[in-house]
Amino acid sequence: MIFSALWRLLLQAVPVLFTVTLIVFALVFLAGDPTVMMIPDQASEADRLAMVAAWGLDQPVHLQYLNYMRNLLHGDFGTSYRYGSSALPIVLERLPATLLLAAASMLVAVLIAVPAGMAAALRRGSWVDHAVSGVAVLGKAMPNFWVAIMLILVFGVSLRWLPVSGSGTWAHLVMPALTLGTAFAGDLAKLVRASMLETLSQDYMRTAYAKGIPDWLVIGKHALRNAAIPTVTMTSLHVVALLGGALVTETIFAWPGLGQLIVQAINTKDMAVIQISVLVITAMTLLVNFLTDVVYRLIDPRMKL
Amino acid sequence: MPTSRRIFLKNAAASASVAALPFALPQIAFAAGSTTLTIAQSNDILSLDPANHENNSTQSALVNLYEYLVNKEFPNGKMVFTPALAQSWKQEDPRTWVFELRSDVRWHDGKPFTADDVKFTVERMKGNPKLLSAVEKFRSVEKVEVLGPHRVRLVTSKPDPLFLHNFVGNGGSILPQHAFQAAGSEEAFFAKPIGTGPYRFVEWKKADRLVLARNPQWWGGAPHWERVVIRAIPETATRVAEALSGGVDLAVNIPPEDIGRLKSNADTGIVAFNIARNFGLHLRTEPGVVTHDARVREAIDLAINRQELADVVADGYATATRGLFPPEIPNANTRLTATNSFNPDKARQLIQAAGAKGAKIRFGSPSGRYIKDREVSEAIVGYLQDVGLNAQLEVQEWSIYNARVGSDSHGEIYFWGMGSYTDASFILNMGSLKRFNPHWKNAEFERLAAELPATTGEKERQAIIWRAQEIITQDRARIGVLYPKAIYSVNKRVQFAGRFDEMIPAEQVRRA
Amino acid sequence: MSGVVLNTGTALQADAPAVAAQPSRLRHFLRALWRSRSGRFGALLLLLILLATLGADLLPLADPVKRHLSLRYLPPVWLDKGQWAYPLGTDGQGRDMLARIIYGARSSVMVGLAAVALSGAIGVAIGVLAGLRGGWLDQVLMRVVDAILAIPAMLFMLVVALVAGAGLAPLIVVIALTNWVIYTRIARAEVLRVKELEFVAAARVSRVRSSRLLLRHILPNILPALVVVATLNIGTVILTESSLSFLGFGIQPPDISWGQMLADGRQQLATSWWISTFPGVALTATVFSIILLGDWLRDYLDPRLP
Repeated sequence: MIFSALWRLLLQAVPVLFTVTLIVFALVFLAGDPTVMMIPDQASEADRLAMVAAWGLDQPVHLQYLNYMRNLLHGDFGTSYRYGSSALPIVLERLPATLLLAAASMLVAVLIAVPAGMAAALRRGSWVDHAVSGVAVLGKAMPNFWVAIMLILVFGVSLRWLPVSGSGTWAHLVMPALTLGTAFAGDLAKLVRASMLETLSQDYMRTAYAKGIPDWLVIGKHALRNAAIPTVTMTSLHVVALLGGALVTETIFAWPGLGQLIVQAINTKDMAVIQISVLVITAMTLLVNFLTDVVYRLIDPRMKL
Repeated sequence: MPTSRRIFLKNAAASASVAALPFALPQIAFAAGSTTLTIAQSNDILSLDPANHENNSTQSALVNLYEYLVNKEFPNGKMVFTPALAQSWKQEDPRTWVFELRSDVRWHDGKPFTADDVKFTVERMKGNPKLLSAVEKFRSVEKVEVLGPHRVRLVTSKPDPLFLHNFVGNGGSILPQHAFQAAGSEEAFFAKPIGTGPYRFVEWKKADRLVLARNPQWWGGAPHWERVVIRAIPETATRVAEALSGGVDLAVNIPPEDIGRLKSNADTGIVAFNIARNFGLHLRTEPGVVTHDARVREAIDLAINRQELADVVADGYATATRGLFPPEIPNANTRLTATNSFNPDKARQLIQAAGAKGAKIRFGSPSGRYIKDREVSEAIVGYLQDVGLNAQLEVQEWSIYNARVGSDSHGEIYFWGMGSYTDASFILNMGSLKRFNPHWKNAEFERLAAELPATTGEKERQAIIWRAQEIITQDRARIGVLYPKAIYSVNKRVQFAGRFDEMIPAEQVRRA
Repeated sequence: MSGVVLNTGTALQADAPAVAAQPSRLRHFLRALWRSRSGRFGALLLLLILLATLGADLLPLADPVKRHLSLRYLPPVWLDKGQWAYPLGTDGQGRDMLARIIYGARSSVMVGLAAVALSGAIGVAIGVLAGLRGGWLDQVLMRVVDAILAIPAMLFMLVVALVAGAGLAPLIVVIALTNWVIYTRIARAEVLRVKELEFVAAARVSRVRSSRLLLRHILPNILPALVVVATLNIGTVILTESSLSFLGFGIQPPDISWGQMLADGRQQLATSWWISTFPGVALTATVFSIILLGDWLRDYLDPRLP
């Protein structure tokens, strides 16, 4: 069963990845010549053309693409124009930082959203409920780079509680994770609330109450388990969004992750790095989707995959 | 040549006194407190290969790791060469140079530095056209001969008055032949590079930090700092916040608006100093555009209130000018000042006479590439509108902006921040000129460009180079506007006056 | 990308068109909107913003692009050194913040509406095409959708922006080219579902031409779902535009956009905080009202969804 699922993953993944390389290649190629940005002011047009030739950029586009794909299949992931070294290690080096930030953000979101959503559901219609809904929407509406800078001002400069940028200790992780986590804690809270409300109104819940089973047991076992599936869906959607999406946040906090690398690579039309970054993120997205399906199966074996 | 010997002697005298400076200052004992120097750069370090980055921030970090044969210093606002790895040098004939190298220098792995390393460095550059510094370094060098373990002779293909500049700056750092060979590949060497500098490599986390540690065997004496950490913080607000909170000792590229906060903060202060950069406008001159008419170009020149730009837009942290090279650069034409350069009434008359009132002018500008670039451009567009031109500002993100330069698709005017050059003769580099002003033609200018390589007399060269700057600014193919200053934040526990070349050698940063 | 998961499988009944006369549906809609606290609040706020946007020229505002180098960094009127002529202060070029915020709303609203309209049109067209035709065309189109969904949105947009350049029109195209996939899935799912419904099958048996099939039966059914998604999508697009402008790829000066204003002011947050704060508030308020309205719409059109 696992093998057939894995097999299906591969079957789906390969055409997607292939299409992705084609799209990215076409776009970056159309974006134009990277050498204009690489050469120093003193260089002449002749110097630039020499560089173009040295990098093989004067070849017809289909040949460039075929060369790239052929190298890819042989494990050669291309050389970064900007760094002058092999592209894959550059990208892989940044991945742990982004994954760490994604995990921390998810944790923040869950820690905020689950209690808030539960509180809102249990006190439906009260000011708690309205407050949670309002704050949830607010969290989604605020631009994350604005939140980031306000956090830096308050906690980094005024109060000096936290380091304002970089990485290295857990303290560096707090503000970036807060910035990203609060953005989707709102969605998650609403979902938790909605799921809980639906479950709480089911007949079997009333039976359980009538039987005298304590509240918290009932809620804990049934409500949360039923909230689990949509939560997993939303979580996986957000993890995917986080993987490549923390671009602006990483830039503001100088967090050395993949997002920051991608922005710089795009600015310098660094084809190899852009391609590898996109491929890595896409592969991870597909992996996350696959793992989500597996988790569904574990939670509820009745679900058809 | 007698002239060059004279230059040499003059330089040697000056450089002897300058070279002694760092060692003449009393060695201040470390007070209690951190022995780590932390510097915040505004760009990521691109590479540990000094010949393959062409980026100031990167070189600023690498000067601690690698060294040059000679150093460039700017005491009293004039450039001199001082000895570094080369103890002395002389020019035997117009095409031949001999360097006497220091014999007490060791690489970070303990092996001795020899003339072989110099030969290796030069030949590596010449043999690899993909290296970014290959366009500017060692182009004129034809042959390198090792005369002894600490003696090397270089022969150039033709007399090169800028020869010494090859051995300082981006791409000029000396690399170890033996270590390259032992590592097997370039990538392997640069994974754990070694140099001769006062600090040795510890680790590099891309886009985060470069960590260096003291090299106790350094030929210049025991280095002051135990560790040097260079962090990349491209986001300005974050960098300033780090400076304020004491997270870094030095932070570069501070915008003028934050100076107040840094000054009023108990632990920080600022330094502002001249750097090798000029803000200028490049104009289209070909037939078919509004700026083809020389009167319109003159009007544009006269419309700009440079002093107001310097005082108000740059908050006083820039020098108004009509020139294209700061006066510290050798052969900069210092007559091109901003005095009497602002005359909007005359500009309006010229526009009327040329029939260009209300003419549309597209003005391209980057945003955030240089401090205040967009603000200066916005102000200039305002000045142009004041004299009757319908100037439209077009701001583009840097990669798009640069591509437009390459494809010659900017409008009538575009803003450019030229920097980090060696000598004002750069203006006569026709190959480079054609990339930035593809349509401008001037017979006298081209004649001067052809004459210069054959001219060796210092005075004669200066006359040609000065005249060239005069022609291009008179013709307004390029209009000089400002020489911006650099502003660094400096924590009060250290002292650093800033360098014209924007390098930050940790050994020149002292404890206060 | 919008994170909205719609349960299109259940609610929308096929008897929608036939019933009561049209005017009372509108009245019913408005009454329900008024009754809901969040819907009312969202709608009113949005209305206010739209009015300010459209009526900007009629208001007694200062010129948003006029520079006054002597009036730079004026604080809002309630602070020391503030002036009544510039109630929300001025920016680094001495331009009035209030005027810039109101004019800036135009960019956000224009981009929001245009990009969503464009992506909606593309997305629905492709989705309906894929659903109706089926077969290999469907497979190919869905693989393309998968590929685009797998690439993170911001990344994809930045790369497209490299090609398209920066500015208002390219920005709309860039966002639309990434955004259309949301609508495709919904449109296609609905088409597949409706294909099974009896009356459609019956209509096909009676050889009604497929285009009429489309217009009369499929589009009205997917319209409610699309409206909800589109409404919420506008909010997302406005935030996206601000992010792109923040990174330097979006709307360029001298055009005004809130994202760009936020970027401008970010270096002066500690000294001239109003330059970024007020556009941030405006952005938040706009998106907030859109989300409230969109959520209410979803509840209105399908009350069974909790």
